[in-house]
Amino acid sequence: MSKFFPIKEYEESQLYKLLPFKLDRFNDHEYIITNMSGEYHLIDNEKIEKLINLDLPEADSNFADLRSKQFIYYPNEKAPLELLGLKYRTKLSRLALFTNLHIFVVTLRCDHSCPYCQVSRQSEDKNSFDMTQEMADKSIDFVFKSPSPAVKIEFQGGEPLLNFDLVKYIVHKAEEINQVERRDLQFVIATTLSLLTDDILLFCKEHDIVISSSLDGPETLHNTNRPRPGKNSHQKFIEGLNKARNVLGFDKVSALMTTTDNSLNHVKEIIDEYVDLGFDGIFLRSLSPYGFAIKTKKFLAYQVDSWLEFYKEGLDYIIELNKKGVNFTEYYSSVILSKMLTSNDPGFVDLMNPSGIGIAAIVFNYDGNVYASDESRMLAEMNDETFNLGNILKDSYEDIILSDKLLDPLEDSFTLSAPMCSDCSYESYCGADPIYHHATQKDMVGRKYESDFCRKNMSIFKHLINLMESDKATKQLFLRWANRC
Amino acid sequence: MTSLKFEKSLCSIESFQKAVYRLSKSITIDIDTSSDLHNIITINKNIATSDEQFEVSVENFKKFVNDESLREKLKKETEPIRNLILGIAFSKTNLKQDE
Repeated sequence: MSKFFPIKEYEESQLYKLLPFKLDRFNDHEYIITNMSGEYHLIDNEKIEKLINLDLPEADSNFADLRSKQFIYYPNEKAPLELLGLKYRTKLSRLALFTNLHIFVVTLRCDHSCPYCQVSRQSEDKNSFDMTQEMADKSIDFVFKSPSPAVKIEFQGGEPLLNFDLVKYIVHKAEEINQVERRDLQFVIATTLSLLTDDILLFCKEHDIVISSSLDGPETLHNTNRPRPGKNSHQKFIEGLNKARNVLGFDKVSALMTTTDNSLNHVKEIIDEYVDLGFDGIFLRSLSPYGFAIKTKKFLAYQVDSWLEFYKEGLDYIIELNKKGVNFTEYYSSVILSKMLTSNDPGFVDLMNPSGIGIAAIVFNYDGNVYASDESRMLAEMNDETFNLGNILKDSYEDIILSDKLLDPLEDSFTLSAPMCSDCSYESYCGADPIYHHATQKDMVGRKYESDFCRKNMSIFKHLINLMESDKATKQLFLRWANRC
Repeated sequence: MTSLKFEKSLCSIESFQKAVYRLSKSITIDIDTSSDLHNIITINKNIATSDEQFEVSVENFKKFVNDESLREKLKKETEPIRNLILGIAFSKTNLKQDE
């Protein structure tokens, strides 16, 4: 005699019920459905209607997954509702923390003249292009008005090392205020490393400042993308990288790359360069439609499709490297995978809803103007002041944060009410990007059916899911990437 | 130009509007609601749309209308539970005591 009742005894006598989810065609034979917390499931075309019509039998191969991922539940169950509520709340928990990243543009002056750069100036005129101490004081006061328990101050330019006295002043003053405020205060300097000195490094060491640098690939490509007097940007980068790692520590220096038309056929060489220099990942970035990138036609030099090919080839190569034992991450994928496979939102400004402008990051420009994001100040360099939220010398924290110039785009672009986005299965992975759509379509909501932002990201979401679904080892790797943020 | 007939009881006007929005680059539609039983949808080609693109868009339009109808049904079916989950998500009290 069996110790257990037959399986029939455990079958539910009642009909399952649906939990909220979104649906889209994934390919010719499958739909993708995503629940409120962003978990996805692929289901055959012929089963989607059955599922919604409550006709899917319990014995169906999808049934257990659909139940465990909170797409369906039995009326007597309470745990699925509480779990979904908890996951949803976790996903949005970052919102309550408010602005974390505060970008100080301490100067627009730069020793490089990169054709895609949005903002820099080849000028020695300090009075025209450097932030003043008075602006810095007011900006620091603003920073500590943010309720965020973690505050990051990032120095940008131009080349911020050209106004290093002001960097030092801001660090000292912020640290002094923080003795009372007790926030988790971090400093980052975004620099090409070309002007790095021992004194600067010592100061960074003393104040635990992290360096974020730029590396576009192997020497020839990097120097073509980043011209400077002496044509030695790559050599300067390597020298600076070694010095900085020695003084600050290996993991205190990161690098970002920009994809130009010159990069498109060299993704493997670019990745190899990062691996050879000991970096544990790369951010395969596309050019943004702002500032000089448009003026110099660099943005138009390649289309989204070419960049997607570049990205996919690079990602394949990185997966291959990992399978050979090289621990290396593609960071953009990692941000998206974190949104897909966990309940956390990594808070990447371009992929946030509501948009991250102002409420995740804010920019204090060299001239005192306050912008909703880095991209907003780039637009301003093209005389588009749409996202100029005010001036730090005359406007208060409340004037700036409650300005219609910030609140209107946040509200209008909210993806849960934007046409197409509100019904899109990929909505919880994506973001509202009012600045991109304003820049490209003069419409902050954006006409998504002709939006390159939408096309690019949708293609990446589908590609990542396809890779995971077709190879278990890749899924394991992606799970690791998802949990690194 | 091509015309399609949809049963009024099966597809809402909103489902046509949402479906055509996705295809705005290639088609527009006119909706005739005068019949008691059917809505007649006339699909028009945009100036720059080729015949081949038009055919694909008409096929996609039918698929998207079907998808929109499924979404509407799902939304209607899950509205109370969605509100309950949102309530749970944003409540700061002990969930079990709230039952």
